[in-house]
Amino acid sequence: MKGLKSIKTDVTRRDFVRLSAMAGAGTVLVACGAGGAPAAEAPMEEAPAESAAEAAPGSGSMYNEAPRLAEMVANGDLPPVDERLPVSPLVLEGLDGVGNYGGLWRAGRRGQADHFAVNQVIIRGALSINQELTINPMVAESWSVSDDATEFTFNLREGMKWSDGAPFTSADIRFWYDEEMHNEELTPVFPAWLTSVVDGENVPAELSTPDDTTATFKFASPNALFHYSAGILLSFPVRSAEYMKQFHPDHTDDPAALDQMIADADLELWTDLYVDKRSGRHENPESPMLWPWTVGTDFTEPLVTAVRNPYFWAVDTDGNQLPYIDDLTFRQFTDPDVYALWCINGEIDCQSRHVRNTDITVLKENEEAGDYKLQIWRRTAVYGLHLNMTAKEPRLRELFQARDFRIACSIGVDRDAINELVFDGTATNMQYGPPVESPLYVEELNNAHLEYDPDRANALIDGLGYTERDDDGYRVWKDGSGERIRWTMLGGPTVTDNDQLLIDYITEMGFEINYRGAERALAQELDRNNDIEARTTFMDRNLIPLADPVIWINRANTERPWGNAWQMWSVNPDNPIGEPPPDGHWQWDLWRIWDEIRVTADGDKQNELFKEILRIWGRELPTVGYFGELPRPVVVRNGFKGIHAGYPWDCCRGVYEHIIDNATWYWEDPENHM
Amino acid sequence: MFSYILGRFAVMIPTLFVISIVTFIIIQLPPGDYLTTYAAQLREQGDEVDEVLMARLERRYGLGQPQHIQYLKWISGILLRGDWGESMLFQKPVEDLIWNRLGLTFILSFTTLLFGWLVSIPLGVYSATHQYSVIDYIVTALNFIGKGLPEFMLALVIMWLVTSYSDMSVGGLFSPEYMDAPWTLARLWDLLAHVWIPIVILAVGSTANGIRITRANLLDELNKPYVETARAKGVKETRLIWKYPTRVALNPFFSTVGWSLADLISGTTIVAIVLSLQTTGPMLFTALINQDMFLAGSFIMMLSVLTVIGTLLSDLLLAWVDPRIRLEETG
Repeated sequence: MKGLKSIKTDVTRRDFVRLSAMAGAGTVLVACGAGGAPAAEAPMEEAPAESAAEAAPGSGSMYNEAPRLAEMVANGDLPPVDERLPVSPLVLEGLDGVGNYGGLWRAGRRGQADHFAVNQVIIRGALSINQELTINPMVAESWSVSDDATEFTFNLREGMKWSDGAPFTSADIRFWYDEEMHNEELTPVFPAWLTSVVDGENVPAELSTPDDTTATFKFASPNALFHYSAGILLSFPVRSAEYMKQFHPDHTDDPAALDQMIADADLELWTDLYVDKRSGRHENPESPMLWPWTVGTDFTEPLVTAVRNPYFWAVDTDGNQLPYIDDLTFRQFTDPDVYALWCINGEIDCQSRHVRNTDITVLKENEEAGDYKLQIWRRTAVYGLHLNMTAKEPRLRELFQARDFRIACSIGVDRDAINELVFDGTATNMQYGPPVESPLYVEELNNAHLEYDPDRANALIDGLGYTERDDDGYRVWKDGSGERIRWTMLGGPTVTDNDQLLIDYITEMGFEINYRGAERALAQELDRNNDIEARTTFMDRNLIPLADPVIWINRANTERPWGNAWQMWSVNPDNPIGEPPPDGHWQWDLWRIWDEIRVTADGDKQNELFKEILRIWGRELPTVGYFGELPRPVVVRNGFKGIHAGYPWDCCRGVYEHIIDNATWYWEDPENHM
Repeated sequence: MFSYILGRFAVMIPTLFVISIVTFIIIQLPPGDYLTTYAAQLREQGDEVDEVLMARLERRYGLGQPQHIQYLKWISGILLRGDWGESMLFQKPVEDLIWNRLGLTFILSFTTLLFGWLVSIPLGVYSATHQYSVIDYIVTALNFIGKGLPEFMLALVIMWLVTSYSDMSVGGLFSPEYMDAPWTLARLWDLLAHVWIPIVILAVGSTANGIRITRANLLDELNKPYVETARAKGVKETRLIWKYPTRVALNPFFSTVGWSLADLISGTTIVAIVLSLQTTGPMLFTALINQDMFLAGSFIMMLSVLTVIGTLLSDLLLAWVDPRIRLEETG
């Protein structure tokens, strides 16, 4: 471990507790080993001591377990809880403290293909995030990165087990990496997130597993944000090697049986069966899992059920094995009105996914009848206007590239009026930045140019030389053609009220805007050809910016076309539509700083650098943001504990289901919710 | 008659062939394919689009191949191996998915059909024979309401009423506790407690239709000379009405029975979506929305086969009930 340094999350573990107490949010998800302690002296000693001290005295065992499991242990169907848990289980502290075991948690699922509804609730990542929006251990007990950001070491929990009781070790990771990722039949394209770039080539990382609990990924060049990858943060691609081997022709003991299984499933290739069994999209009930609950039914059933995993590797502060809740059900509906009726009728215990904002009033009215409370979270997405600075029309380009014009589009719009008219005043005025609790929050971006000042807006535009107007009062181009300035704004299939009002305000400043509604597929087509002049969208992905910063950086297609041709050039310089930004343009700075972040091992420094990107955004407004943090309703039955209102909610990667770990949620009266 | 049926069968084969091509083209018409829809869906959820998975799926379903190759693969699978392909959305063989739901769909649609006829024929006959009576007016008024009220609206209203005034869990055909349960009396009772909602809703529209048609047709017939003749010969009124003019008035039922066959699968789609029923309609709809080519294509092929067979059946039925048609054919 020498030479390796632990990646720093923003606060130490002690600070964590203090901060959260100050925030009044009660206690937080405290993950042992989070924080600045070097990995080598990590929590191994600390955590069990802490939980063991609290364990029920006289029970003879270190940890407590759910009555249902205790019964199975008594019958000899299950080994004792101490043997099922790892040496150092994850310690989670719920927002409502230590909870009760048992009960059923009912949720809904829209249509058979809505596997997200289930996955978001049950799946855990190698690493996780908490309410402070910092990264914490989950499946991995701790992690560290070398100073040159080329080596990532993940320490697994000693004695951790799959839901079938088989040990979970680095051998599972080894099998996944060597036999799945490196098998060209199974994985024809090696995933980019497991590579680093050397001379323009993606070079796969080398995995070493010196012992059962260590997995080190060594990259040929720095890859400092590896732990933010989709496969690690909030998800975990590794499956039980023991289970998967029977579907792998190089490893099965019984090739004839494998052929038979492939034939029985009506498939031609072993890879298809393998992929189905590893349950990428549709969780395979037979496959051992690591999650707090394991799925028990096929996804085509009208009612998908999940039951507690007796081998789940987390405990609460009293040493009670988590999760608290025994069973989950996800009932299928096809029409959202039926779902709303279920909520009103008290048939949904806790869910946010399918609750529509348009139902807030009716759900609020029926709180008493349905015996629930409607919690309001903050959906962090920001409504914004993308002016394509690389539009095909050169005159538009000149206009859109003028910073003063973009500022005018910000201050020339009365946010409060739109907010009041369309969203009943529930939105918060802001530019596109991370939410206030994020370690990356930059005040001068979020609050840049929010005031409504139409006179100054017009003065700014006049200052750019667009002073002349035609007979109808529209401004005309500077080239003396006398043509009025106009552009087309792309929107969804139907025009929304906020789009309409935004257009009105900008028209007010002397521009003619044509609105063009487009279905998604058409919009993508236009986007690919750089045929979009302007567009409005809700911009998400701002909860964990380092995990998915594409909208800010503009180096991957995001369908937020503020500098489309630049983005295309950066992806592929040979693309005929792509163009490099002008020399000395701030777009270069965004790319340069981002490249620097990717080779910077130190977490604090990464954050500092990223804030620099956000400050450039605050200065330049590449996209004009208007407001965000619209209410995100969550239905929570009375007596369902552990989930509190007010937290930021981002669609991305199901983050909102995990910001407060749902293994710590419980029923106040589980006996009434069986 | 036998050669007539044989001839009809001979025409059916090219018809179905053409339908299969048209189906395939129409499903492929919208831009993109299942994978683009899936990728868009993933992005909407905020998930990463896994290029590896995409490449794998593209190969598995042959989506990169030219369309005529895709078509040939699909149709030859059906014809040669009885293999309807694999649903991309569910990663399951299409036949498994469809058969799972077909039973319930048939029961539901058939019950609705029977219920509709049982109500509409007697009421239609009564309305016609008692034209402009109070009951006729009431029935007519109810008809117009039934015909004019959109089914999905009625479904929402009934669900709202049931939720407000009872403890019953609406949506679907079972309460959650019976969804996976084995068949018991309690489960049957639970089904009966739920199934009346869709039956009533679906029957309201079709019953209204049936009554209007029966009434109108019967009114036409009642004044015909053969009725007068029969009456003059002293045939009892009830027997007369039911034996002669009613039989003729029922022709529309038999000539449309062919479509009902296809309706059994898809006719109840909107109501089934609103009520979240586990029938085939919503599945066809989902398949189309997601451009799940094989599932949607197979559904439409089945509908086409049923329509073609149904048309034949209704022709035969008509010939059987209506001597005039029978005679025309032989003569």
